[in-house]
Amino acid sequence: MANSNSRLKFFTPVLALTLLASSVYMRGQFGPLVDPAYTPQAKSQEEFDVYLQILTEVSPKEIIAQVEKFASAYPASQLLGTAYQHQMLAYRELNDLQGVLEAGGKSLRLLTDNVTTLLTLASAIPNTSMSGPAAAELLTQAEEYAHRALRGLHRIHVPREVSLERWEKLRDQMEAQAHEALGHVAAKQGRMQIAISEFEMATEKNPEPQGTQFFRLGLAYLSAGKQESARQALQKAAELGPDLITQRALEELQKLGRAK
Amino acid sequence: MGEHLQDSRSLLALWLLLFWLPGCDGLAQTSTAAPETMKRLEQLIRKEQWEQALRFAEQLVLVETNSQEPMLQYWLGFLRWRQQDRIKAVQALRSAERLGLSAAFLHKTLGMIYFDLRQFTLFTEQMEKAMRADAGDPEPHFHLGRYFESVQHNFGRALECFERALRLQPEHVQSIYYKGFCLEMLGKQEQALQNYHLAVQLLKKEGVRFSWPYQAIARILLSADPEQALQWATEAAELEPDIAANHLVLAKVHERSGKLTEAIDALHKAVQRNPTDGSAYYMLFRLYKKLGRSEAAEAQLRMFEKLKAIYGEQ
Repeated sequence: MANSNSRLKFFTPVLALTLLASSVYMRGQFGPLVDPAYTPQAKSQEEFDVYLQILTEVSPKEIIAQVEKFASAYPASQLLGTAYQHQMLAYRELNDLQGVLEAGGKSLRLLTDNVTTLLTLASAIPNTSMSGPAAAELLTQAEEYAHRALRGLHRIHVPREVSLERWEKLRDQMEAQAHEALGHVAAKQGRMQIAISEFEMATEKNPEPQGTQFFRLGLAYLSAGKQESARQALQKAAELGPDLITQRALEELQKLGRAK
Repeated sequence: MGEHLQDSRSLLALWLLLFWLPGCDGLAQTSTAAPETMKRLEQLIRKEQWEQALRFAEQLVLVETNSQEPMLQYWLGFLRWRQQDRIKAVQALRSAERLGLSAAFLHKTLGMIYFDLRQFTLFTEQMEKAMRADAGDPEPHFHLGRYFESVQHNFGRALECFERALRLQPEHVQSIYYKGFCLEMLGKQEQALQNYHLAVQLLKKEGVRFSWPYQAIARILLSADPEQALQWATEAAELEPDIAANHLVLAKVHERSGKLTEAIDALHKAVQRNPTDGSAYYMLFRLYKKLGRSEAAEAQLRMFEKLKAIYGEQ
């Protein structure tokens, strides 16, 4: 159990790397999944100008500030849901999980089944360092978000401009992310068999294998005493990287080697 | 319908080339930036060296005095739009607007980019500004008509817009075609056919390759005169072979004439060009079934059902 606790600690530093694996679908309004018939509309050019500034800003701190300004100037804007989504992503870049949760929550209240927001929150919540009943409640919420994202992916009507190939790849990546989030939640709750099953689904589904997902799977196998499976998963993680994951995976493999 | 929408973007590119390049006449004279530099920009634009023109414009605008030049901001926006950088295009055009540029061409460009970004409220506003800036210009009415037809599916309102465009320019061929399309959607086939034939006459006179009226005539004649329909459908597919709808209509004509193999060939061309169109797969399913090729039929049906689940009803 001590072993599994120390391994669970490693899930947290993986946050930034996991979340960096997100693809261009994270960019709300102008992403591929918005049906033209239901695109949120700006009511004035001035409103849209400010919104475009948010989209083109590169500094996460500036994005956060600009979204606050936008929300204050245009509290009834149809673009506010996606503006909060951008704010959520900016907080994510700053590793500010509280900010992610707040901005993501605001975005979800306006865009209830937005898959991007659901997935970001589902991935971010298990990385909080809270404990006790509040943490347990948050984990349950993360589980719900991940399930909602999975349901949403099967209900979305994709715009025809998105090719079938592109959609299937996007969908599989997002499903993999949802399963990874579910695995992470289960691992935090000590439900290792479920965690393993979810991480396995994540690694199998993802059309672009992620080192972070194999790393989590490897740690989950280790916690369950499945050393050979752990070795294979960690080796894959080390091959895929990025550097931090490779380093962590090699460290775990060395420990495994010494434990033999 | 989806191809009609895509078609509007290619029409915009054509329209911009035909009508707006001449608008850069005297770019050097009308701007306050250094004449030689603006002349250079004008030359690059006339030669359609878009990438070089964009790079040059981006360098020019870094000079403080130039950044206050509305026409330079306008061309920067136009060039960025050509390079698919729609957000920065809007930002440059808005700079031009704030610097006092209020010409119909600015509002039309900005409006079309808003359309591209699915900002239809702002698109409509810009078209109305363009109409006020130049009451004799049919283009804003045409584009509003396209919006009502392709996005709102409000063929009555679209028809009003195309008719206004035609009052201003009776031989505006795209408006004639789309007026015909709206009439067809409103159940007025005879009147639609008249407009399509008029569009074809004008297109032949102007030597423009635009196949939609040919396709439309084939579609209307399909039941009553399949032989004639075949000629029109074939001509449409030859004029613009990259338009999936041309091959789809040709397939229907072949099917009507009992030429199932030819119909299947045409449908395969249609799906190659528009792989997300479930209706073509459904038609393939029916035709393969008629030919007794049940495995092939089942494969097409599975594809149809997959696309319907992902993209919804056509």
